[in-house]
Amino acid sequence: MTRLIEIEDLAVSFRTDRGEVEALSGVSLHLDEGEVLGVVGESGCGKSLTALAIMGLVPSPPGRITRGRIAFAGRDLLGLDEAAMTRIRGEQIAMIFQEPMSALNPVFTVGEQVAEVLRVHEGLGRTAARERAAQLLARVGIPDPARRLGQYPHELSGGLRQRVMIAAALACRPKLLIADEPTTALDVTIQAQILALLADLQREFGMATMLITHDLGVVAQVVTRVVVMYAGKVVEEGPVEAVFERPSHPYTAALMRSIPALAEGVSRLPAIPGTVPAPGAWPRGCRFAPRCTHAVPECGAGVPPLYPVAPGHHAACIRHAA
Amino acid sequence: MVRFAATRLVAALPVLLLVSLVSFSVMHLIPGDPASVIAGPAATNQEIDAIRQQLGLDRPFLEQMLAWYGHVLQGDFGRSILLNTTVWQAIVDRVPVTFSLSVLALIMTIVVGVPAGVIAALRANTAVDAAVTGMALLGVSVPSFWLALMLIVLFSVILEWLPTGGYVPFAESPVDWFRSLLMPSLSLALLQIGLLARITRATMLEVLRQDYVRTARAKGLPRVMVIGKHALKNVMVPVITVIGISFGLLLSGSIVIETVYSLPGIGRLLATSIFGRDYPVIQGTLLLTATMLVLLNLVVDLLYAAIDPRVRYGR
Repeated sequence: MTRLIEIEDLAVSFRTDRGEVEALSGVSLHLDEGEVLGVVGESGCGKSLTALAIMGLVPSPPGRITRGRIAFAGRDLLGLDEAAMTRIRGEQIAMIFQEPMSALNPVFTVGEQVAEVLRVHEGLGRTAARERAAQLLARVGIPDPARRLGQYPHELSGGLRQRVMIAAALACRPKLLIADEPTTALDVTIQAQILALLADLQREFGMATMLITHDLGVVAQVVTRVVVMYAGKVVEEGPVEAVFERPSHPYTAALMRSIPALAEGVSRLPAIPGTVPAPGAWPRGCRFAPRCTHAVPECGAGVPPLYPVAPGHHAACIRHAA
Repeated sequence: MVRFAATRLVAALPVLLLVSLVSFSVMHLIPGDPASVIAGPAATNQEIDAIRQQLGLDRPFLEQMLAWYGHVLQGDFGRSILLNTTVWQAIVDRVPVTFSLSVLALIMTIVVGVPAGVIAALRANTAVDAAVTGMALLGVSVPSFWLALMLIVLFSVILEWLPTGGYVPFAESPVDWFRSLLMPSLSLALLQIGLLARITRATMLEVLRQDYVRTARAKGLPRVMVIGKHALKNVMVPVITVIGISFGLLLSGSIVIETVYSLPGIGRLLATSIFGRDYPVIQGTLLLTATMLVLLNLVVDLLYAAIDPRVRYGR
């Protein structure tokens, strides 16, 4: 498999009232062509920011990429100017967002919002773009697409809106789809449908997918490899079976324990004590140590690197230091 | 859309009724006896009675009201006491002046105010933003009569480019019409430009933070489209309302500007009729301006619905 995206030591800082605060500190991850990667972690751990950095959409100011490299199909994305990045966005790399309510523009028809992507990237005329938009809406499972084209976002349900977002994202058959919590804002039954649709389209189009979620259940269903993030760093990565069978970072293990299992008897669901520390308030050394049941004094000595656990499976915990 | 327009029109009817009732009551709300106020202190009882009879004030209230409505619906607003003409004619003669002035001022406001606000928002917290915001504050703060006088000093007295005052009808000479209105409309527009630029800036900043702007960028649309299409149409929703209010204020006529530039407009007509106790003209002007404002609001509502589909369906 060929490498599609390779992120090395990516760091992003935000200027705040308290000075420059680092929100991502040295994230490295990679994604092969056609691969489905799950990025998991609690809110505020830097998943979405990593995605925005790939898209070149880190809000700036106040955000700033301070170091690192993002290579997409061999091209250095961080070195590209805005015009070149604009051509890549929506055509090579597409993104869908968590809130289908607010991510669609309320004053344009959904047809227009899908068709404009085709007009801009593929130079289609109005009629041709509209026809293709109708086909796309049909492909993402929107009934009566010809009528839906002329409707506005507020006339559609949340599930349909997310389908419209997917149609717009896939209009140009991108090589990489970034889905940032695509099902979080939806009803449970709709969640399953959208996930099934994404998996289906992924197989059909053969595109690589980066699925950002805090829901490990979602990861287990559709993902081949998983990256666990905590407080602006990657703490574990590996094939999904390996990570689920042998979670090697205490944070991953704690996340697993907090998944409710329906089959087992009702007991109190273990929650991870404490909260993710805010950027700027990160402890020295291992950032999970204050919440970790295995913590020892050495954890505060330095930020642990990713140690190999098994081939392709790494965890940033000193317990795996050889 | 047609249904929306129809409901809006029906909703405007009670307002019009109330407005007309207030206009009618002007004669009865003023303290004392209007007939003797109109006649002046030196008038004899006979003269006062004659005026009272002429205005129909000696008849029962309800009868007066019905008669007044009957006349108004036929376009008869009575005769002016000061001017030797009907109220209708007095107003119709002056509407083109105020209307021309308002339209020119409005065009200046939109053409300068909206782009200035957009640019300030796109360059937020830079020198450009500070310059625009500062100018806008200046525009809001400078009194229009002072600005009007300074413009006369500069363009009429020193440079001798423009006339100091007076009105030339469009039909007579479009160029002179424009020259006669340039300074007055600029004096009126400056305040509006300041207001509109600030509101446009604030709204644009708000819209730029919205998720759909990020989506537009994520779709790889060029910046011109993200700003000029996706953001601007959303910005226009509140901005159109402000423009409507501005136009309404302009249309009611400006006593100060029309006086400084000796323009025979609605503002000055109202001023002279108030000073001269010309009640029929006050009534007529009040009724017509208010009706105009109600209709203008209707137009703004329709524009609003045309831009924002959510309004059309009552959300």
